[in-house]
Amino acid sequence: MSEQMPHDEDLRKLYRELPADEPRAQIDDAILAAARRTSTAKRPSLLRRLRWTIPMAAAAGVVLTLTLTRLAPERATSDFDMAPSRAEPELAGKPPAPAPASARQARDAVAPPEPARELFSAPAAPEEDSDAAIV
Amino acid sequence: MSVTAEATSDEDLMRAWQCGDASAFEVLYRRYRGSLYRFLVRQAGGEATGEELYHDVWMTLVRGRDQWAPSAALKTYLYRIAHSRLVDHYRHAGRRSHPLDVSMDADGAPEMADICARAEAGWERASTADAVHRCLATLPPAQREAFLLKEESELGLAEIAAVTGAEAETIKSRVRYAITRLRRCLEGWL
Repeated sequence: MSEQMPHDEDLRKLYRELPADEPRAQIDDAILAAARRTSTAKRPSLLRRLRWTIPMAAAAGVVLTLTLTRLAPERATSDFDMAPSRAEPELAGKPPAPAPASARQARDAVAPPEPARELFSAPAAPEEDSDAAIV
Repeated sequence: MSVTAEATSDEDLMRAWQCGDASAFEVLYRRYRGSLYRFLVRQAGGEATGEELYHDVWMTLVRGRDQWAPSAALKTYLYRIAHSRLVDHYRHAGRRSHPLDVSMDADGAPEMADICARAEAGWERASTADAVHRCLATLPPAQREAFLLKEESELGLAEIAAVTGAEAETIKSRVRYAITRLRRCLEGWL
C-alpha cells in the first residue's frame, strides 16, 4: 500500500534533517507513572466481574422453581374440577344432592382431590400407562 | 522470550500491560514517544500545544487501557486517538469547521505567490530546519497531517485512511498536494 503513496526522496531527506524533537523528561515521567498506577490496579477477575451475575441467576432459578411448584397443584386441581362441570348437563333436572351426613363426609369434601395427591405421592407409572393416559 | 523484549509486537505488549505488566507499557511508550510527539508538535504548529496534546493522547490510552481490543492494530489505534484530539483542539480553538476536514481545493490554502514572496523576503537566510518548519506551517492542516503521518508514523496508505477517516484516494491527493507545495516552498534548499 505504501508504494502507492506519492513520494519524494529529496523532500524526505530534507525533512529528516529536522532535529529529532522529543518530549521533556517530566512529560515522560508523568505518563509512565500514570501507566504504572493503572498496571497495579489489575483487571477484575472473571469471578469478580460475575459477582452479581451468579447470585442473580441463582435467585431467578429459585423463584422460577417455586413458581412452577405452586402452579402445578393448581393446574391439577382445575383439571379435576373440569369433570363435574362437564357432568352438569346430566344433573340439570335432578334435585340437589343432600348435605353430607357425617363429619367424615365433610372432611372428604374439603380434602384435596385424589388425582392431585397422586401427582406427588404415587410412584411413577410405567411407560405404557403414561402413553395410554396421553392417548 | 520476555514479553517486554524489543522484538515483541505492539499488540502482545498491550496485552501484557492489560494483564498488569507495567514494563510492557514502557517498551510501547519508548517505541512511539518520538514520532508521536513530533507529529503532534508539527501538526499543531507549536511546542506548548503539541505537548499538551501529546500528554492527552497517552493519558487517553492509559485510562482506556481495557477498552483496546486485539482486533485493532495498536499503532493505528494510537494515531487515531491523536487525530481525534487534534480535531477537538481545532474545534475548541473556535474554528467554524475543523480544518482537517477541509477539501483539497486551493480554497482556504495560502496562496503560493505569498509563500514565495515570504521566502524571498528572508527565508533564504533561515536554516534548513527553519525553512522546513515554516513551509510545513503554510500547508493546509489536512495536507500537513497526511504528509506528517506518512513521514513520522510511517503508516501505510490504508492505515492513514483509517486514522483520518478519509478515503485512500483523498489521502493520496493530500500527500501529492503537500509534496508539490513543499517542493515549491523549499526550492532553495532542495
